[in-house]
Amino acid sequence: MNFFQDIKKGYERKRLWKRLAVLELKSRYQGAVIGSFWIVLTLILKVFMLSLVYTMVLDKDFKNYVMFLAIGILTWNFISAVIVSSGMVFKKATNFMLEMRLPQSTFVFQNLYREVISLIMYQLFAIPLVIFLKGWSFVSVVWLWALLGYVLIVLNAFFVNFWLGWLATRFRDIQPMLISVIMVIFLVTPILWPPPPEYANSLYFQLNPIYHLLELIRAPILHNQVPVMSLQVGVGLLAFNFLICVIFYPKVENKLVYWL
Amino acid sequence: MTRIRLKNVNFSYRYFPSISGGLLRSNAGLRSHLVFENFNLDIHDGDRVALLGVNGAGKSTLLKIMAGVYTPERGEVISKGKIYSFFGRSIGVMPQLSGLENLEIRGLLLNLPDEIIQNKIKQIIDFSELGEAIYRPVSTYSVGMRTRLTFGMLMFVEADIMLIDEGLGAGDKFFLKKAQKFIESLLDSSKILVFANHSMELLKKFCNKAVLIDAGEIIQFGELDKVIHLYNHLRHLELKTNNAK
Repeated sequence: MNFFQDIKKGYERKRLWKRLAVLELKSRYQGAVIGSFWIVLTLILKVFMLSLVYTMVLDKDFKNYVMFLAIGILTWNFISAVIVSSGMVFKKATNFMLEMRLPQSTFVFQNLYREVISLIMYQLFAIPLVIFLKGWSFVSVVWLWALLGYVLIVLNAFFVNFWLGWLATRFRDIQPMLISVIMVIFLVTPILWPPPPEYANSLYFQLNPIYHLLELIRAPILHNQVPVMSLQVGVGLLAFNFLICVIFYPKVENKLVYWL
Repeated sequence: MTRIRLKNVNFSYRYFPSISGGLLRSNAGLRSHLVFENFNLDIHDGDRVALLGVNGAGKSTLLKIMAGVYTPERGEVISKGKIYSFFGRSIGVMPQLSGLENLEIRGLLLNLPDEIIQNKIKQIIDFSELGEAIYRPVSTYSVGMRTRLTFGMLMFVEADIMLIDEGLGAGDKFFLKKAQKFIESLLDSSKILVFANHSMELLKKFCNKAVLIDAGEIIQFGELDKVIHLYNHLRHLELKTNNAK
């Protein structure tokens, strides 16, 4: 089986990975009164609490800052969840993978589907919030670029899930490292704070791929702009992640199961 | 014609080291342990083979190689027929989910159409007599109830080759009789069974041949009673040696 066949065969098992993803989400909130709605509630609480503090600290306008934070943090939640969960994508599937030969992509699809459901639930809060704060006149066709941005982010996440999943399964230092690194990335990327205008074009931001992924969504929605540079970075990242997977798949195809 | 053939198979088991040792000592690296070297085995239509051997003899690894989960470093595994593998109770059942959800997942793992899954689930609930407990998380089940659910999962099987490892406990006597009837009917439709289990009662009920392996080598392959006799004899000798020490 080559990488493309794996993806095709994994996709064909969609009833399995969709069911597993939904059960996984439900089991996280097993016994909770409001169940999976906690996904949205956690985001709402986070955005409002942080907005209260940071509008004071950064001396920003509350309305604009809440929008900036909401859109940024929901996209970041998706990106960080994908990166951290990549480390466990195959490890979690040990029971299945040691019982029968299944396409590896089955579990990547499962992981991604679960996170995409969360992302859609986040939007149920974020989009109405923006419209509520700015009115219908703020909605623009340029927002469609954000949709394309999400497609790029999800595609990147798909391939990152593969190679980071392989790496973390083989090298046990990767998973704890991912958890530490993601915290550092959160602090050095403009998520809580907008980049100062005089430094917006500095290499510090331009060389941070996560900044560009966030801009894919923030620029069209918040500034009505098409983020050309960020789109180029997003496509470049996609090509990189895809190539890594194509090159390494034949090397890990039969070995992955020994590392679980 | 259904068949499984292992030809000159070499296989090393790879594992991460144990977590014992100092807290600050490195536990890095993947270790390797040679399990099979030039291993040959040929199983044909109608063979219901009991896999015998002490713990660590390589039974589970052998089943995983047959199922295609592990790929040998050298040699060939030739299988003709649809394989169904069932390895271990904890593997087949996810404790945080209800019995019903577990059955559903099992059906999906086997890629059966939704309609068949739903029909089979109804049959399994009747067969396993789990009643309302089917809606409870499996973590709340007794050992007997888990065994019933595990047997029930076998009702999904439509395969030529069945590979079963440890998953089936003996359960209560009444249920065992019921399960035996069902497995016999199941085996009529499957042509090969390879069954690893510590219960001689179960092995004698379901198998007509046996293979005894030790340290990755076949000691004997043939008639069930003869191989069991040799296995018991070797275990007896081993116990004696251990006691003398």
